[in-house]
Amino acid sequence: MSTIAVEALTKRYRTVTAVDDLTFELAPGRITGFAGPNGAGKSTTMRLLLGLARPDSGRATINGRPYAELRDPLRHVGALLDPNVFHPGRSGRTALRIAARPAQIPGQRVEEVLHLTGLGAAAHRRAGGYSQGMRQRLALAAALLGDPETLILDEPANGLDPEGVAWLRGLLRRLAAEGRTIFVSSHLLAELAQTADDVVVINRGQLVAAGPMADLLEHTGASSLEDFFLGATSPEVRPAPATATRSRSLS
Amino acid sequence: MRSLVSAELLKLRSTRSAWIPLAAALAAAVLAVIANTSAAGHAGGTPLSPAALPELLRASGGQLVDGAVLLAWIVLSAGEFRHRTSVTTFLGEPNRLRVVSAKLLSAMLTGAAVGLLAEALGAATSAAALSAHHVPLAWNHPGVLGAVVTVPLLAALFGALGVGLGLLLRNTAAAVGLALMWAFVVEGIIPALTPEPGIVRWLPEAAANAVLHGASPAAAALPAGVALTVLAGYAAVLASAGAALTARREIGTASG
Repeated sequence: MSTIAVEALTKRYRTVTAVDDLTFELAPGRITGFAGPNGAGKSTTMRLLLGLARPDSGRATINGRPYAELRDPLRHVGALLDPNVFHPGRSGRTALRIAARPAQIPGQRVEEVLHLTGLGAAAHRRAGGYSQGMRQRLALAAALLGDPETLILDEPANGLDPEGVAWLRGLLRRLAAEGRTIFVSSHLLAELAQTADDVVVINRGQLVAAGPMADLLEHTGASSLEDFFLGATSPEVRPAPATATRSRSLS
Repeated sequence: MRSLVSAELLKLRSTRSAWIPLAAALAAAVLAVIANTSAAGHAGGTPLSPAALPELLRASGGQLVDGAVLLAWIVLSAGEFRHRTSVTTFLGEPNRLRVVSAKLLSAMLTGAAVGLLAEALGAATSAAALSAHHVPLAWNHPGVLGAVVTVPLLAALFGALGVGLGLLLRNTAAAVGLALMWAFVVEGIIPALTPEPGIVRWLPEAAANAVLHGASPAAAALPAGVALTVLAGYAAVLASAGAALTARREIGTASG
């Protein structure tokens, strides 16, 4: 089973510290929600994990290795960072076939993930004509291509209709039940509370809380994740890593 | 590397704005031979003779093929950032230099293949046109082999130039605009700006002409071998700069 570990991770953009000495570790085989206000550093943390950005200091690893050092990374880690990463002139099927080539993933698997994400009937259509929800499903299909044991998903429910959100919840639950580690960021806290086993909350690039969802609520006396989130990330509250919860480690 | 090259070639096949210029250049290769053979002997032009074959072959696969290959690979390389497909590309292969190498290899293969195809089409059309004009075909003319070798070689180098320029600028319109400006404006005005006329022959377009037309008086410049080395140098410098920038910059931001 895979693990994701972030150790003293820091990333600065000129005068802005997007990620500030962030440390946490995810438990394998569970769904971990990643919450924080806009600009808190969630997407940057995920991009650092996936080797698309370089940290100024610290380390982000998957199974003990930086993403760039993983052999056949698509077969270990599936990532959805942005639904708008497909050439608008290519069909959904061709976009996936291109994504599958570096890992030599067969065409049959492309058809499987198209079917799994409900895009089978639209696979021949150009991605430029897809709705936001369809592009999100296509990005999810790309993440699932290598049948990876780890999934890193940035706002996967964006653009999905209520039926799509329910479908996504079921899919993530099923994948976690198979022992996969799922790290999912979302602004939809009620949805996250229904889906995630654990939660990592950051604000201004710093860790606010990390732990099992139930423990977090019990420990802080919050009535819901939203209640906790609003209290912990309001502008008046300075982030206080490791004080809001017992531990940064979820494993 | 084979799977990465295969992915790059699939990107080419599935990007209309990349393969349409290549198809147009191949059509132009046929039209160039027809136009040249039709015009020969008219308005004081040289009549057709067996010696015309090498020039027909060079004309059919010359600058249009080079320009089309350059354009196709600018579109494919810079387009990765315009459409943010670079995110998927570098998630699939995080070693960015391997991705750049695959792009360069694919571009050079495309150039060589399109160049050879243009020569094959040019040869077939030339054979038909010369036969129609009762001109014997001189396939053993010394210039024929030269044309068949240099046209694909030049097109391969222009493919590498396209990848380098696209990765360096990351903006399709800017890269295509710069390439067109350079070919049609900059190399034209440099002789007027510098007191040293010899400098022009070291520029890319002049070097490409020297390779293509060899010792013809119109392009009496660098020897073909030196000109080919100069062009390879430009391709190497642009590709290295593009690779270095690609390895260093962040992927998945608004600009990449």
